[in-house]
Formats: sequence, C-alpha cells, structure tokens
Amino acid sequence: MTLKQLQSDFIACIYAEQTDKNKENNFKHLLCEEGKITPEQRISIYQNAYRARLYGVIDSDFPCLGKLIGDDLYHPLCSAYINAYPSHQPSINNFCAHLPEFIRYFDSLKNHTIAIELCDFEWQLRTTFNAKNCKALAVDYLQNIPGEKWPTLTFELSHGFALKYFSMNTVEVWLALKDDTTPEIKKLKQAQTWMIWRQELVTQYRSVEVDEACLLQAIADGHNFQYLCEALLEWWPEEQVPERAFQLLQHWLNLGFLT
Amino acid sequence: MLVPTKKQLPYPCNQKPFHGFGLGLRPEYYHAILDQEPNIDWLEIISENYLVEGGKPLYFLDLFKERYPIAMHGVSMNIASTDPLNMDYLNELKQLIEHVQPIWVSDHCCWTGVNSHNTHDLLPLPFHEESIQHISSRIRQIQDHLERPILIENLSSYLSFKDSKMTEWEFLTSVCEEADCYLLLDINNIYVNARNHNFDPLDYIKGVPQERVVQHHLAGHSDHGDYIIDTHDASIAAPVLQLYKQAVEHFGPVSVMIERDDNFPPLEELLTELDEVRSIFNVAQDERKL
Ligand SMILES: [Fe+2]
Repeated sequence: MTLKQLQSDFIACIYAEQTDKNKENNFKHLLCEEGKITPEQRISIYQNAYRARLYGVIDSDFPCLGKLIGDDLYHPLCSAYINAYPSHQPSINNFCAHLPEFIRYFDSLKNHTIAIELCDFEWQLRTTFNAKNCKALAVDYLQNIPGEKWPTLTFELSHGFALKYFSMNTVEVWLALKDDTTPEIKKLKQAQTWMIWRQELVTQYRSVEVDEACLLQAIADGHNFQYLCEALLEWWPEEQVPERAFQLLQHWLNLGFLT
Repeated sequence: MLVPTKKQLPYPCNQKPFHGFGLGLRPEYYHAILDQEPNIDWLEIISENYLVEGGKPLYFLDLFKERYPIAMHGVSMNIASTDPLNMDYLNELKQLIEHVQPIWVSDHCCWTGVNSHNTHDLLPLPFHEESIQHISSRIRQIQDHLERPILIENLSSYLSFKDSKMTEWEFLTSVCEEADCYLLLDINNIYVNARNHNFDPLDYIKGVPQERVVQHHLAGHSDHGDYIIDTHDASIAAPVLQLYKQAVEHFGPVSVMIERDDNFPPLEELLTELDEVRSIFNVAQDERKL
C-alpha cells in the first residue's frame, strides 16, 4: 500500500463517526495487534482526540453559546459543524469561521434568533482580537485639516472594526452568560446596531445611535465627509449637521478606530 | 538495514548550544512571567499561535523576545504528508522566524493531514524505506526554503503499522541522517510509546544519534493502565523523570523544557517542577563526570 493510500484511509477513519465500521475496516487491517488494547480501541483514541480537539476550539471561540443553548442543542451543532467543515488550514485559528453562517441553517437552531446573534457576536470578538494592528489617527487630527479639504475628506476604519445589527438584547445576554448568571432574553422593539473594534490591544464593543450607524457604514463604504453630512440631514436640521458630524468624528477619534 | 552516511553538521556534538531549562510560553502565563521575571532560561513558543495578523499575541511575543531566548515549535508543517508542501504556511513561518530570530525551529516527524484536510493531530506512519525517503526529502526542501536546519520531534503514538520494517528509533535516525536535520527528543513521548508499543525506552535513547539531539521536551501524560495518552495536562510522571536522568547520563547537556498545555497550575508550580528537572540534570551530570 502506498503512503498516500494509507494516509487517505487513516484520515477517513478518523473523520468517520464511530458507527461507520466500513471506513474503520479499510484501515484496521493495516495495524499491528499489540498489548491489551485492540486496533479498534487504538483507532478510537485518534477519533476521540480529533473530535475533542475541535470541540475544544469551538468552546474557546464561543465561550457563551453552549451556556445559552444547553448541551442538547450545542453538542449536535458542534458535531454537525465538524462534519460539515473539516479544517483545510494549517492554523486552527479560523476553524470556526463558518459557524455563524452554519447555525443559521442548522435545523434545530435556525429559528433561534438569540443563538444566531450571539454566535455572530462571539465570532466577531474573536476576529477583532486577532485583527491586523493599525495606527489610529491622533485625537487632535481634525484640528489640523484645512477648511477646503473637508468636503472630500475620507476616513478608514481599523482592521477588525465591525457593525452588527441585533434584534435581541444579545450583548446583555452575552454579558450575563459570561458572568454565569441566567440571562433575561428579550426581543427589542427596534433592532440595535453595535460596533466592535479593538482599541490598541483591547477588544471593545458599544451600541451606536441610528445616525451614527449610518455614518459608520458610509465610511466603511468609502464615502467622503460631504456625503456623511448629507446623510445626517435625514435626522438633523441643516444648521446642526456640521456640529453633529464633528461631534461623531471626535468621538470616534477618542475611541481609536479611525485610521 | 539501512546504513546512512554521516554528514557534516552545523553544530558538532561538542559545540551544541546549551540554553538550559525552559518553559513552553502559553498565554495563561504571560503576565506571571513578565511580572515575576522567574528563573527560566529560555521559552518555547507554538509558532501557529503567532501566525496571526495582529493584536495581543504578537504584542506579548515582542516583549518576551527582548527578555528570553526563544525557540519556535510548530505543529502544522505536515512533514510526512503525501500532499505537496504548504508553501504559504512555510512563507508565513519564515517571516515569523525573521521577526523572532529564534534559537531554533522545530516541528514533528509526522503528518497532520492529507488531500488538503487537516486533522490538527500528530499522526504516525509506517517505519519503512519509502517513508524515510519521503520525509527526508521534504525536510531537505523545508530547510532549503527556510534557509536553516530544523529539529524534528518524535511523537506519542497509539497504533503501529504491520508495514513497519524497523524500530521507531532506527527510523528517526535514518530520517535525521538522510535529511541532515536535528532531533528534538521528547522524553515523555519515548516513555508513552514504550508503554503503548512495548519496548525498552533505553534502547530508544541509546539508538538515536547523540550528536543530533539538540533539545528535550518533558511533559505530563495520563496513564490508563493498558495505554498512555500524551495529554500535557499534569506534572511530569516519575518514570519520565527517571528516564530523563538516563537521557542526561547518555546525551550530556541538552536544552530542555516543560510543555504544559492544559489544566494550567500557577506558574510557581511549574517553576518548582523546572527546579526538579535542574537538580536531576545536575545529579546526572555529576554521575556522568565520575
Ligand atoms: Fe513534545
């Protein structure tokens, strides 16, 4: 048997659920009988280690999801995810990247809005934590912009900055679960926007006003200051627009995510 | 029996760098190590933990690299796989090497995946000529690409193949000599395999090329009676420390460190364990000189 064939059979056997004896049989006959434990038991050490390691990765990337939905929903979700998305990367860091999408279509959770939103939030925290460093603009940046430059002024958001729209009190629920207390789960009257970013090394999150969310999205889309001001007209009388725009920009500079 | 030809090594046996007694750097200990500046001679990082774009891991890495010699230990080189080498991974690793300037770079004599799948586990393979040729030519390519020799580590395993034509230590010796690379000899893994595959661990220690052994690992395991699992979640077992003493008597001074990856105790406990390793080393060295 070639090494390639042996490796393909071994990995199929590791992936196989323990009930899939066919895959195991293909591989088992290659193994020595040694000591008191059988080739089947030896194979199951690898099968268990494989699943345990990936469960461990999901647990650490989503510390509150399991607490929210309980073992009866969490274990089948993890197991189905591991089967659906075996790792193709040298690094295990991004193994869970598809879980926020996967949970939306997972039968027993697809209508479980709080689980879907919490999963999305936890993965965003993880992504932001490891995002590329960037140099934030200085807090006095705006003071040095000449007047004629303002209309065409554009900004960039730091790597790892994200906006999330939650229809439930997701962050509150997450905080309660983090403290091991029972969350009170509520549907909000109006969806709330949250921003997640990293200030130096610390991952931050904060809810944002409706006009603020709209402007942050516009910045993410590459629009300039003039566009931002026009957008603000939806909420503010014309004479107050420059003040609000300036106030928001200064606020964001203080939070350290404009680059 | 394969008779490998001896090759010229960058570190001849009497000039191997000895860095003393180290610890595996894990995020759980970042603050304790920085605050206490404890008696640790060097640190080993898991390279993959720092193959991220930014944030805390790289920030801390920079702090540690100013303070300690660092060895880079990887888990994803997939050396023995029949897939093509992952050049993206090797390029990223090379960048990290340039940044860290480690004392050396290591990975495992095993494969982790095939057909572009990754199990993130260290998987064994049969000990025969085809494996030796396959692995050693890949190590040569890796060393050429990284422009430096690497260390390969022996792994714990829970099964063995009927196809094997030699012992694990004969296999490892041939790979190292064919590839012209170094050995990171994990003493716990030797003990684990001796129990799982029923051989004398001293035969293993005496069977590998002394001049190529540059580093030792020590770690805890879980003993299930009929078999042992390499878990790194407990203190080093007494028979492993005993075997370590025999290793020092045989190999002389080799840089050594403790790997702890789960069930993390306070740093003080690991330091006490490291002191115990130091005193075993000193006793063995004294006995060696007699
Ligand atoms: Fe090891």
